[in-house]
Amino acid sequence: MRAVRLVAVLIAALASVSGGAEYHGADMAALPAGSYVPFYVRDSVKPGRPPAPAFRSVAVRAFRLDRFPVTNAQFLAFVRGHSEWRRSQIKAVFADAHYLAHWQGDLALRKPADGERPVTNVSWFAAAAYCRANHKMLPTTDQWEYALANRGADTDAIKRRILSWYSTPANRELPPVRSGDVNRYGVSGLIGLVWEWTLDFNSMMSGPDLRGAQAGAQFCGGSSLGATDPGDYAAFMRYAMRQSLKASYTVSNLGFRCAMP
Amino acid sequence: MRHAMRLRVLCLALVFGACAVASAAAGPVTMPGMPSLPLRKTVPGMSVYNISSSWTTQAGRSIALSSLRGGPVVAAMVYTHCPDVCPLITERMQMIEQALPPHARDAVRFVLVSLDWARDSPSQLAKFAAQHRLDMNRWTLLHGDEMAVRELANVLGVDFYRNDSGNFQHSIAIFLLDRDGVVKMQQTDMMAPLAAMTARIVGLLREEKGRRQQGRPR
Repeated sequence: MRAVRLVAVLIAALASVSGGAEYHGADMAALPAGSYVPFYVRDSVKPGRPPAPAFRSVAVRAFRLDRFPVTNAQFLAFVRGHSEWRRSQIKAVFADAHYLAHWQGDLALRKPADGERPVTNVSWFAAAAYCRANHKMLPTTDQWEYALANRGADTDAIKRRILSWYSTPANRELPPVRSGDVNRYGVSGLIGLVWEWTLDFNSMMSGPDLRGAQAGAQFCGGSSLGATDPGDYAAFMRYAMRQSLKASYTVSNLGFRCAMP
Repeated sequence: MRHAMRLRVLCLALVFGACAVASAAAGPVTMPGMPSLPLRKTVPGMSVYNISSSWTTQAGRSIALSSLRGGPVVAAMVYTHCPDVCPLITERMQMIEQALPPHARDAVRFVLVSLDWARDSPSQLAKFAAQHRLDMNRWTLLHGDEMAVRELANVLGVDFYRNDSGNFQHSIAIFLLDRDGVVKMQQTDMMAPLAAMTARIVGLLREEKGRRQQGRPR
């Protein structure tokens, strides 16, 4: 009898554990496998071979993506449990001096409404640590761009909205994360809220330190011919923005969301 | 034929076994013949050793980067399937090793961290070390998972792009870390005079010696 009860308790415990795991995925959208044409075509890495053809589409495996950017309230809960990521504790190597500068203190937001706004002023290291703590990862640039491409829906409308967002003054108050449009994948606020970190934000290789193998990926001069759609100024801005970042940077309109395989 | 191959593998295994024992015996980096200074409890905020990820050496030993604390480290991020640039970086580090005065040479750790989390297993790294005749009394090769690699690359400022076939484009740099893991120098020009790097290493060791003589903990 006691054994039976024990088994029942165990089953209940297991169920609650798996329920917990599901909770992490609750606010995530499932994106099907597919492909998209990135704004910028990367060169082939194989030496002695011609660069990859332009207009190459990139395959993306099915994955899950947070429906919304991470909020201040969610990030606050994270730093409560992980004191090394609090504003006063963070190591200089992991974030610059403006880390969480818009908060009142280590564990205090300026006003309750900030809780629902996207967290910003977070470095790549802090964003990656948050995702890891939630058993997730930052989305790759391909995953993020694939989600934005939205199966080719409303491409021109998206471009227009992006440009009007880009021209909005940066000092306005950020809207709550749940105020954005939802796309066909069920993902919200990819544009119009904040810029977002990606796992490989710096993978375009435009640094001056390259030698040897085709080091073409640059935004100026002849190599800007690598852009698949030179008219897509909105995408150009996005790629240039990512490329200008260093992992310890914190920016007042740069946040993130997490992904899962 | 197969027998010869097996014999060669056995020889390699013996050589690496010896190295593993040697490096295990060395334990945390210490300067031969010198009493080591007590280390402060925490490392400076800008230290690479704030990274807490776990790595595996070419000998299969699991370590934290902070176990490299205690002496200067010359480090680079490479991958072993790299056709031309990484062997160049490795050779360049060996040239630095050879250009150092003997007492300094033995006080420095040379570390190659693999970018290739998928293919550079510890045994692959051991093979690379053998091919390049790295002196395993001074060299350590490290394998880490994707996030560990990305985190370290981002701390050092090594940009890389991994393509579909698993090859990398990456920025080229050799880093000099002080005993606490703070980057003191970064060389991106593989043709720069060796003396710039070796002089800095000797300078770091001299500072250490000065502190030791004054008995100042740090």
